[in-house]
Amino acid sequence: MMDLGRKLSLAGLLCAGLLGVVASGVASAQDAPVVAAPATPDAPVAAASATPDAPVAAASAPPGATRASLEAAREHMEQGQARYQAGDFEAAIHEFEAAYAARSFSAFLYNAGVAAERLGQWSRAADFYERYLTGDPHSSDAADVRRNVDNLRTRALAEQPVQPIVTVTTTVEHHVVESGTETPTGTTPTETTPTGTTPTETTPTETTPTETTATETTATGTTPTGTTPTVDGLAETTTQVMKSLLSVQTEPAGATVTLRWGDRVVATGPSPFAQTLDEGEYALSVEHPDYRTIGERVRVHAGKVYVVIVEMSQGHFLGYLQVVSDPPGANVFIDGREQGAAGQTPFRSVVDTGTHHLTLERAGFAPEERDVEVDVGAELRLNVPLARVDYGRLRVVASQPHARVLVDGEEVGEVPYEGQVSPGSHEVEVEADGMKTFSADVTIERGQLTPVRVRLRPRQGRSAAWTTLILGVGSAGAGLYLGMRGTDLRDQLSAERDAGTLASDDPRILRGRLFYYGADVAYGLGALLGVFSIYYFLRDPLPDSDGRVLEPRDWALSPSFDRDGAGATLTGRF
Amino acid sequence: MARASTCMVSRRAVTTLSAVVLAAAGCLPGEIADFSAQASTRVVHPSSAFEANSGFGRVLAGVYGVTADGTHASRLSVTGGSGTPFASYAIETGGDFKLGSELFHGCSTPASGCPVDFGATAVGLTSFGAEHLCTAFGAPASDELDIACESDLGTIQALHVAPGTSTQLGQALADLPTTSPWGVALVGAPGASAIYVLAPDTRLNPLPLPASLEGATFGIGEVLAAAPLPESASNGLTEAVLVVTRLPSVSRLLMLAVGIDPSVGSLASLRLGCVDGVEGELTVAAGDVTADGVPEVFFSTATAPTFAHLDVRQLDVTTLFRESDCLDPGTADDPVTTKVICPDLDASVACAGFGETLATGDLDADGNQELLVGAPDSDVDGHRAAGAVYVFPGTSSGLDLAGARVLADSGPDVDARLGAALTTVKTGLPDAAHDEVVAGAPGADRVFLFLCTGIPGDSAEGNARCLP
Repeated sequence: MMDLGRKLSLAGLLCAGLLGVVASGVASAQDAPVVAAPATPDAPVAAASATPDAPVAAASAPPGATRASLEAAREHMEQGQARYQAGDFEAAIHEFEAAYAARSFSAFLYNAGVAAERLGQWSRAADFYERYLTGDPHSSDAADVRRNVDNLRTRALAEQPVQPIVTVTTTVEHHVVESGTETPTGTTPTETTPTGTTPTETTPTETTPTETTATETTATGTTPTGTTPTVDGLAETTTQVMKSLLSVQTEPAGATVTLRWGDRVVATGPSPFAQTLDEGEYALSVEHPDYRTIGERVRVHAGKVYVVIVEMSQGHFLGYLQVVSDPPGANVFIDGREQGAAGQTPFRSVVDTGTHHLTLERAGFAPEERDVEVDVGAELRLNVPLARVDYGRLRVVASQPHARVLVDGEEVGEVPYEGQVSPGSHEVEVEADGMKTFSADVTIERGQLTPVRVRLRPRQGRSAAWTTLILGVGSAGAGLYLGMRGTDLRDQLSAERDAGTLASDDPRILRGRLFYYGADVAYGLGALLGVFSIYYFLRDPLPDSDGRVLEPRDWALSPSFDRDGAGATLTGRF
Repeated sequence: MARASTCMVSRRAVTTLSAVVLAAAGCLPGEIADFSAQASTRVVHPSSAFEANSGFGRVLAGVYGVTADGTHASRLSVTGGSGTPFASYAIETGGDFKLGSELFHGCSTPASGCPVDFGATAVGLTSFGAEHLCTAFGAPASDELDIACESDLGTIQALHVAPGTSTQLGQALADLPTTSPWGVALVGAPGASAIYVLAPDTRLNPLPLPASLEGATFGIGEVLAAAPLPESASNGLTEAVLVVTRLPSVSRLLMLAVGIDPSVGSLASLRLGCVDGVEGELTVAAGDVTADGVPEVFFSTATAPTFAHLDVRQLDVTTLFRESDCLDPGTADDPVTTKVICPDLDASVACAGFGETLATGDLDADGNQELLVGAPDSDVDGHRAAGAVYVFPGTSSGLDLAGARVLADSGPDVDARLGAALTTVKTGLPDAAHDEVVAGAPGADRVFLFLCTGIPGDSAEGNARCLP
């Protein structure tokens, strides 16, 4: 069971939210204003709330209303409800006034009056109610409101100069009707008398409905003013029952909206249509000369704002769907993928009333599916947490086209490369012919894309080194050959010397010396060339290839369509 | 984290180079030994006094004597033959072996005053008058004998006989042993049909010939060889020398004993023996192979049709004491000559021209003279006419033919004609003096001194150095 405060809060929040949805929906559809349309001769503009006994022509949106003003009004409405819930009625009044300033719905003035009554500021409350009557003079409860205003004025005069503030404890009883409506029944405050003062206050009276009663106790800091709301009428002294607002948007606009309570027409007017209503069940019909007439029953509860959207061409009513995911940015598919994504979270859109199958997809996260039920004029808010997938993606781009990408030693493709990689640390190498290989340890996060930028630099040419090495080896080989020849001669000469037959000018002596000298020179040259070749091999004046591993990020999945089919592609721009 | 990519390349390069260096280090040749200094055969090259291809080494003369300060020394005199300069090379001085250094040369220019055919023959002189270490050079076409002495450098004494006549003085030269003080050398003058004795007083005295030779001495002195002769074989002559020559008019090899006739106190000669039928180009040598005091005579001829020396004949002088009959080496009753043919000692040497030159010398200082035979036309290691020298050891029973050795250039040259000239020089002075073989290779302008001949008693066979 909810106390009045919470009901008011909920109503306020819903009103604020739905006002925003209405504003965005209508604005995106046709940018048409959502408040009451100008009156026509046959359909007088009724700014006041309607009841089943007091049909009025609905008000339509004033010209020039913008989405921004609707958002502002919604925001102030939400803040006002929050302040009211917190007991900060003064701040709530300010918010309601700001909401009215953004969008001049009379209900904001009415709510401000309610908050003022909670503050015990009777005169101020009366002022708000009078302004409400000014904006909606033909509302069904106009008489009651006027009487309340009189009572408030009287009270204000009687309680001057300043009423002491007493702490009371109120008991709010809820009457839950069998039809399912819920009506706050007012409070029975128990007061304490502050020392030194003798407050004069009225004792609220209450009625005891025949329905069951739910009792809650709410401690407040102000002196409540008891109210006795009824379904069929207003109490003589106070009006604490929140008004309800019904807004009807049609596509196309200009349809004739009629509200009936039973057989009686409560309100009628062109769309976009807005009407303040008392609690009850109404029959809503929408007529357009170009389309067939459609109708729906709408159950209105006190303190709520209802936005009904009608798609004339489809012949059915729409509801609001709001989907929020954590993290946001998930594509929302409604009832399959044939039509593509309906939008991204945070998602707000009007949808056909009824059951829908939602699919949320976001790159890097596992898809989520939900079945939802959207009621007429209701807003369904869905909060879906997303879980990351159990793999990551690696994107590699390099300055050298067709450079090869290797992950953990295995070639996976060419740049620009993007592929699926298991989470964890991986060795990523980028290589290209004639370029120095780049290598880095890259940590892949689950459900995230890790970009790597690589700049390959040319490998220092080794032709000079190889040439020098080859020459050095050749020279050493020549030295080896010459040395062997010299050794052969040396052996011959040694044998002949030992045999005593060697002549001192044997030409082999000189030849052997020349071979040995040549071998020494060749070896020396080979060693020198070898040193040079080592130097050439090691010398590398060019810097190494470098790269940067960027922070992991979510990757984007975009639909891909061609003649052969449709799918999704990962896109990225580097 | 980026990592360098050059490590693999540098490692590969280092590995390759290391392998190369290791291989090279393991194959470093090292130094080649100074084989020139260790060679057992020393080669003398001509000095600048000689023109290229002058035939350096065609004429050789070994010189032994004492220096001015009384140091025993041996020298080698070399010419290129007729019309070439001469040079004198040190062999050993006081036991210090230093072959190769030219001591002096002469007659290298026309302005030197030497006869145009200077250097046709040469013989070493122990002394000549007051000079020492001299060489006598024959210039037969100039009828002149020139004497060059180390003790008087720059002076060449020219000797003549019978001026105005063509004596062909110096056509043949032979040194006389020190046991014959009446002369230092014999000089042939076939143009004068005479043999002259170069006396120590520098005079040329005609050698008296036996009266029995009168009428047959025409052209005598074209070849000469001399060797000490004991009195027992000299028919009473003292200070006798065996002289071998030929009577070309009768193709007779003549052996004479030349010495002092004690009855008259003057030089005289007696016929010891002869061998007829010695025709063609003749080479003679004499030496005491058997060490019995009586020299053996060796001769070689080159006659038709080949005109090539094919063998050497050995004569035992003691069997030649017949005054009337001369032996004919071509007959069957010629028991006193021994044919020495070229032995097949080395498959790489194809013997040819065996006997073109002859010499004797005691290579191992055992008292037995060895026979040296030049074979300058021999092919060595396929090198045509590279030349070779054969050494036959002397024993008490004669030549040790089985112990013969062949000496050749270890790096033979084509047409070098090693052995075209033969002589000996002494090493091991003064107390271990022995002869070393010296052979000229005029076709290569080189002279070879074979220090290690492999003769038992000589330097040990197989020694790295065969220096005394």
